[in-house]
Amino acid sequence: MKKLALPIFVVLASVGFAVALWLIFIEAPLQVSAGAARGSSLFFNQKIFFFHVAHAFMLFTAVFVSGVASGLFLKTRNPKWDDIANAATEVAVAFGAVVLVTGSIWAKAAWDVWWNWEPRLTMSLLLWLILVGYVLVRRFAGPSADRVAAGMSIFGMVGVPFIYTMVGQDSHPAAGKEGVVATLGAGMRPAFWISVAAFLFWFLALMIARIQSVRAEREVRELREKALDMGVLS
Amino acid sequence: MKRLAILIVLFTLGAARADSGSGSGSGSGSAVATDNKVEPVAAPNLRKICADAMNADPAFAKSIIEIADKDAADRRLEATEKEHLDAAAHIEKDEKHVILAYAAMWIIAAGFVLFLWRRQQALKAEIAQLRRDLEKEAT
Repeated sequence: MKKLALPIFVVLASVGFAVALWLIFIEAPLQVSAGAARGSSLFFNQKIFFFHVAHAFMLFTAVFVSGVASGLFLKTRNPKWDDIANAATEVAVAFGAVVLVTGSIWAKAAWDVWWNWEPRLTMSLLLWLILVGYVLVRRFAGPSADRVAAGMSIFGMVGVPFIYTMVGQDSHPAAGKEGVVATLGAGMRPAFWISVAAFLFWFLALMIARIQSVRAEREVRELREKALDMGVLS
Repeated sequence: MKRLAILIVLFTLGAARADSGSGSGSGSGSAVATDNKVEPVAAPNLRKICADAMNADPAFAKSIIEIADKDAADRRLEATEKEHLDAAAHIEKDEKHVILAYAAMWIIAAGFVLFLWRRQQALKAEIAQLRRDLEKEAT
C-alpha cells in the first residue's frame, strides 16, 4: 500500500488538474455574483487566482508541516521527523516560488507593476527566503545542520499567520472571514476547491517522493561511514 | 459648427456680391449666388473671403477661433477616451499574462520533479555502488 501511495496521489492530482482547468476556463464566470451587472465583472486575469491561491494554501500547509515536524524532531531527536521537515521545506520552496512568480505576473496584469513592497508581498518573500535558507543550511552547515534548520523552520512557521492576517492594509485582495475565498461566488467555488484538492494531492505526492529521496540520502551517508570504517573509501 | 458658420459667411457675401449687379457670372471662381443659388468658390478666394470677414469683425473672428479650439479639444478628448477604452479592453481580455502565469507554474513544477527524479536516480546509483564495494570488501 505504501508503494502505491505515490502513483495514486499522482493520478488523483492529474485528474484534479484536468477538472480544475476545465472548471476555471469553461465553467467559472467572471461575474462576482449570478446576474451581476457588467460593472461588477472581473478581468480575465482573475483566472490566475485559482492556482495562485491554491499554491499559497499548499505553501502554508508545507511550512506548517515542516514547523511541527521540526519541533517534534527537536523534542524527540527522532530522524523520522527531521526527514519529514526536510521534505516539507523543499516542497514549500517549490510552492513558494510558484506563489511569488504567479503573484508577480498577476500584479503586472492587474496593477501594472511586477512587484511592490507592500506588507504581504514582503512577508511572503521573507518567508520564502527563510525556506531557501533552511535548504542551504541543510546542505552546508555541517553536523549540526539538522538542529539549526529545525529552528529556522519553526521561525518560518510562526511567520505564516502574520502573512495571512495582513488583510485590508495593502492592494492585495483580503483574506479571512470577509476575504475573497470566503465570499467567492457560487460559480467559482467548485473551480477553486477542486484546484485546492488537486494541489493537496500534488503536495502529498511530492512529499512522498522527497521523503524517499531524503531516506536514500540518509542511507548513502550510513553506507559511506561504513565504507570508511572498512577502508573501502578513503 | 465651424463649417456652418463659414458657409453662412460665404452665402451672405456671395448674395451681397450678386445683389451688387455684376451680372457677369462667376468668372474665375468667386462666390456667386444666382437666383438664390450658391455657386462653389475656388479655395484661394475662399481663404481670402474668410480672412477678410474675420478681420472686419473681431467678434466673429473670436467666435471662429473658439469654435476651432473647441473642435480641437473635442478631438483630443476623443483620442484620450479611445486610448483609455483600448487600455481597459486590453486589461479586461488580457490572455498573455494568464498564459504566462500558468506556464510559469508548470515550468517550476516540471523543474522540481526533474530535480527530484535526477537526485533519486543518482542516489540509487550511489547506494548500489557502495553496496557492491562493501560486499566485495567483505568477501
